[in-house]
Amino acid sequence: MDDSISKGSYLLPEWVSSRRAEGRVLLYDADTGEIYYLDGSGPALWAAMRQMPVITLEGVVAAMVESFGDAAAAQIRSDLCELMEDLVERRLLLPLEPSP
Amino acid sequence: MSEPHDSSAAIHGRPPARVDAPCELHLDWGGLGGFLLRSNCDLTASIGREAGGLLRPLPHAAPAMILTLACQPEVGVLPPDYCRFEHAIDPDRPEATFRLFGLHSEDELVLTAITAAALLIRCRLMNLRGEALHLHAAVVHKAGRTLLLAGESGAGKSTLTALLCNHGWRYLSDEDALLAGGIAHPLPRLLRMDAASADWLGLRSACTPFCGFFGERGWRWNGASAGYYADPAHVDAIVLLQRGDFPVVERSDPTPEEAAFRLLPLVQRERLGLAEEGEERARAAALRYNRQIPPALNRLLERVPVARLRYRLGGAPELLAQRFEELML
Repeated sequence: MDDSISKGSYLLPEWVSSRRAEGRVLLYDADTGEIYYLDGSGPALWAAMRQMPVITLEGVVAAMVESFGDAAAAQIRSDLCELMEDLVERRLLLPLEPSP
Repeated sequence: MSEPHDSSAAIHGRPPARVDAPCELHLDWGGLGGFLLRSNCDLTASIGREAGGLLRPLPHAAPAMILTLACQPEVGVLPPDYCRFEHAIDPDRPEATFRLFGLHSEDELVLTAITAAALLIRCRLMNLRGEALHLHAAVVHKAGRTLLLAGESGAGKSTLTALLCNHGWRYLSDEDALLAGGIAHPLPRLLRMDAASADWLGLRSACTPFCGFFGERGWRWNGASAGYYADPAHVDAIVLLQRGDFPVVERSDPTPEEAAFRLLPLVQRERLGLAEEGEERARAAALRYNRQIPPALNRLLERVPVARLRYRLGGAPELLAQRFEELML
């Protein structure tokens, strides 16, 4: 697991909008004109992230465990870490820089 | 059925003829005022053949838009199928220049002219109205109603448009819907379809072959031109086409969220991530266009109903046309 993901705080950028249908989420990046799709556990994780003003891995895991129970925590954490890494790499999730 | 004029030379096209003095055409194109089309190739015959009367000449009008097409001399040896274009659109003035490399046929030149016109019209709509949507959709009109037929490649936009225009519908576009404020602007190009569709509709003998970009081959039918609807039209409904092996033709009404989910990928976007470093104002205009797509689509969906049509291409064409009208008119 990427240590920086587990310790970091993130924001959803204003240039990314999303739509949900057919069990998938569409992400539109207005800065690049690209469209991406989330499927599998992605839509649920994205929905949880959208509820948070500041996104942290543990915060999303806690919200998801509340819905799905403790038994799923390890899988949620693994899926979420992978998703967040991917989103950060594509600038669909912005790291909040620590204050100097 | 008579044999189509299927000579290899016609299919592969022929290169456009260069001219010493710039070729200039004044045209009414897109219902937004006069277009001045300049080229270093002779466009007169090919544009006339392509548009088949869709374009109205405007010999003395001051142009609202200026489009320059420049075929560049090839540098070095180009692969046989090599063809690309670069474009520069001034976001603050209604002008665009397209440079074409490795151009092999008049069809490629004309398709470039139409692509360029679409981008320029979109830019002008943005400047006039503050919003524009360039949607991958056909546009047809009948009985006072204008419908967008939206779908991915292969959804049957062109085939269904040809079918409907063969049954009294009027034609605005088979591929590009240029929208602003719920109004669709026509884009004058001949309807194109593949051989199987032309055969199914019994129209192949009335078609002529074309040779487009990247080996694209097909048939264009000027029968739709007779019913060309040359003026901007208020859009009454959007039809999301879903073609498959469905036993019956069926209409359903998606939620606005589902409609946006399906339509957003069909909006033509500026791929800034892939663009080379360009002129700053042009990049800013492209970014402005990309950013206004979601709110413009939301506003369109607030005023225009969306229907999903599941259908199968096959059987008797007239039965599909009849069922379409029962469900959509």
